[in-house]
Amino acid sequence: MKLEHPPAAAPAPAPTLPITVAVVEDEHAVRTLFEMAVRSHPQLSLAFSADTAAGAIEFASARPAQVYLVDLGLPDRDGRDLIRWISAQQPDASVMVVTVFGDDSHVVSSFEAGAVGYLLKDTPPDEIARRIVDLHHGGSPISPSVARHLLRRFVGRGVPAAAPVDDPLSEREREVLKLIEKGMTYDEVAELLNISWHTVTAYLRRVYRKLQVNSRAEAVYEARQRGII
Amino acid sequence: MKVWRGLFLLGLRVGLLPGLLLGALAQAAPPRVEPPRVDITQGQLEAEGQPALEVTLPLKLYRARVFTPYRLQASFEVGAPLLATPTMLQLGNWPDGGRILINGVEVTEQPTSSETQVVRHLRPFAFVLAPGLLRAGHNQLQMDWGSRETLMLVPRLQIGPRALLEPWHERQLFWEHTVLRASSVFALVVALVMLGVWCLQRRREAPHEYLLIGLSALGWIVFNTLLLWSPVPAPWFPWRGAIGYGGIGLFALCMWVCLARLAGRRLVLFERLAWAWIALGPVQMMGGFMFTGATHLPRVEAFWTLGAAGLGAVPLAVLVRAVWRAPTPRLVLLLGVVLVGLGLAAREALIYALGDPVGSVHLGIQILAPLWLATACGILVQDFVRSLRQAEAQRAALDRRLAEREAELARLHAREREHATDEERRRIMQDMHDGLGSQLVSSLALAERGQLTPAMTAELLRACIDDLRLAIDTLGEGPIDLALAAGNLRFRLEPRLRAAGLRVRWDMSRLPEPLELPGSLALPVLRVLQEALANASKHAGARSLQVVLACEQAGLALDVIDDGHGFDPADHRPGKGLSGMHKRARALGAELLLRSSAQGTHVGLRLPLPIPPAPD
Repeated sequence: MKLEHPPAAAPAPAPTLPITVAVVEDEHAVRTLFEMAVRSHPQLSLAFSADTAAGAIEFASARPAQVYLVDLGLPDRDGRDLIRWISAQQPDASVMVVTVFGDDSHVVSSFEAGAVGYLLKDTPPDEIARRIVDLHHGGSPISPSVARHLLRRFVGRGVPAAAPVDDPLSEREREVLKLIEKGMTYDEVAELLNISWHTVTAYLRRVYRKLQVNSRAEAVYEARQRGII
Repeated sequence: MKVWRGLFLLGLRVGLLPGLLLGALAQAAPPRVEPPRVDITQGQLEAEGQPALEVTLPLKLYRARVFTPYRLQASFEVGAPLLATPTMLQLGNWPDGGRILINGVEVTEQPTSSETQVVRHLRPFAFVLAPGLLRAGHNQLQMDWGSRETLMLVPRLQIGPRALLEPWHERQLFWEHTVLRASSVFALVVALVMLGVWCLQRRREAPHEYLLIGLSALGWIVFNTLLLWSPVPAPWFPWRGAIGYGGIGLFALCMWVCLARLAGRRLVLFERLAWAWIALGPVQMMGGFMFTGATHLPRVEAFWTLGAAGLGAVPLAVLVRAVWRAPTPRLVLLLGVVLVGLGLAAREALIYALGDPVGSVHLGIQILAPLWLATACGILVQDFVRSLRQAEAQRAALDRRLAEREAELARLHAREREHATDEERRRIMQDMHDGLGSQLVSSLALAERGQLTPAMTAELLRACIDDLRLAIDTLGEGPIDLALAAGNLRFRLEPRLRAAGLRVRWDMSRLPEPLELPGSLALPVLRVLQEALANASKHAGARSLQVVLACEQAGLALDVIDDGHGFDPADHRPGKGLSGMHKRARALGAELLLRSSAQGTHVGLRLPLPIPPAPD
């Protein structure tokens, strides 16, 4: 049996230091909305906003942000490339994907690239700000079908032909995902498992990290299988 | 290739029998050796301590089972023509062996019976006579031997030119001696193969013909081996006879039973009688030795042999009848073999009866045994090949049928998939028409009349996006997990519900896991749920909201209960939400419940499910 270390709860935010946020979105209206949401919240400050991946990389190198909101459909590159760049260059930053429908395949592939949350484009401005703060303090919620997708990604690894799983899901992580899959909110999950909201999000963050690590391992494995490396 | 194969098989069938027959008959006839051959047919037989007897040769004599030395004296005349060529002494059958002297000079000495052993030579002999041994005119021959058993044979001797006698002798030696051994080896192979096949087949409803032929061959080997065993120590001699009879009985009667079976009859009574007769062979033989001191042995022997032969009449009759009814090649062949066997047996019996065993005595059985075994083997091999071919044909037919069925199944699947895709497309079109499309059209109408405030526009567009999301959620060919889809809906609406200050109690615990419904059922249910949630968050002014999805005996039950200020369902202006819910419920064949009071509102949906989901 694997020893379970309950993840430590994030420390309470210091009110004096606002969270720096970068917005990378090519649609003007949406970008403006997001900028507005960030500016109007006292705990957030806008680091920069960009409408291309190249621009974002340039800005981010100069003024790293703590939270990045990234659209997947950028004009110059796939948003996931940018996410990969950020998670490689600035591992302490959190990336949130901005998507229209929040469909599983987009969200999960973004998680594999290194994102830790996602935001629907039609989210009301005050909710946007709240989600960003939540994300910075632990995580943002995922839909039941994304939870199911994550579960399957890990459970489906039993087959010998697939890439080796470096780090399978722990019992607790699986439990959390299963409850979310059933339509429960983080608060309900926390209540049911008798843990804090922060702990639930910390479990999920660990799942994202494993997903990222495993997807990288999978890519390496695949490359090796094909004789590329 | 096919032609050659056919010719070979034809030759095998047609040529085998006459070939063997001719070969046998060709050697069976004694050579037409004209004088200068000398046949010694008269002599004086002396048993020790008894007066000499004038005898005619060959002599067949039944006597007491005591050891007695014998001497034969014969005189013969030789003419000048014979003296001019190298000469040879030939004995077709000389079972007791012994010593032969001509004019006082020893020609040969072969092992002979004594007090302690019994000698039985079952082969012809021929000796080259030294030049000068024979005299013109009167010559004297003397033969000394011992006899210990009941039957004694004193052979006829012939002296003739070597050039004439030797080839004949060689031929006789081949049939009597070489063939005897060769047939033993052949029978051994047959026995091993047949018994092996029988052992391997035993588990199935095996034809016992394999066993019968195997035993028949085994019987032949036993008989043959014992026949060649000489000299035999005196105490073993009765056993040799008994076991030998057992062997030949086994051979003959297995053959009878097998013949009847190959002719298509299974005669239970006959078969039992046959087995009993086989067992009787050795018993009567030993009985003859022990109780009569072998004096009655010839009669006992004859009784048993005639019985065995008589039993042979039954399969012969069966075979003749079968051939009469349907003369298949194999039955004709079998009948041929039997007739040859009978002919040879008759010839043998005749030789014994006439007491003139000059030629090959055991010729009949020597020919019959390999002939019979080869024929029977051939028939069984043919059967085997036939059943093999049948199995192959069956397997090919089965494969073909399987392939056909698989193709049919694939076609069916393809059609089904096509149908499912069509169905899905139809469903989405219907949904777009009823939901998003009509919502956009009515919004547009309102906007064109200038009746939309920005807040209303936002609300309408949001409703459109919600609809679109729901449609996307339920997209895909497969059935939809209702709990999951409802969970997604909740997840999406959660911020709005929270913003409206609603506390949601979400209860899916009475849904079987997973409850999968086709999109055509799931989507309307989810739309009703979405509508009810939207109404509760927008209009009800509620504090808490209870959502229950449950599977009951009657079907699916959806309940959305809030504690808001309610509305009068009858009096309420025909809001789009309510009428949409009614429309969807009607299309589903479901019942929509609307109860509203000052204490709250209850929206319920009862959907009968065609197949009640099995409890997990």
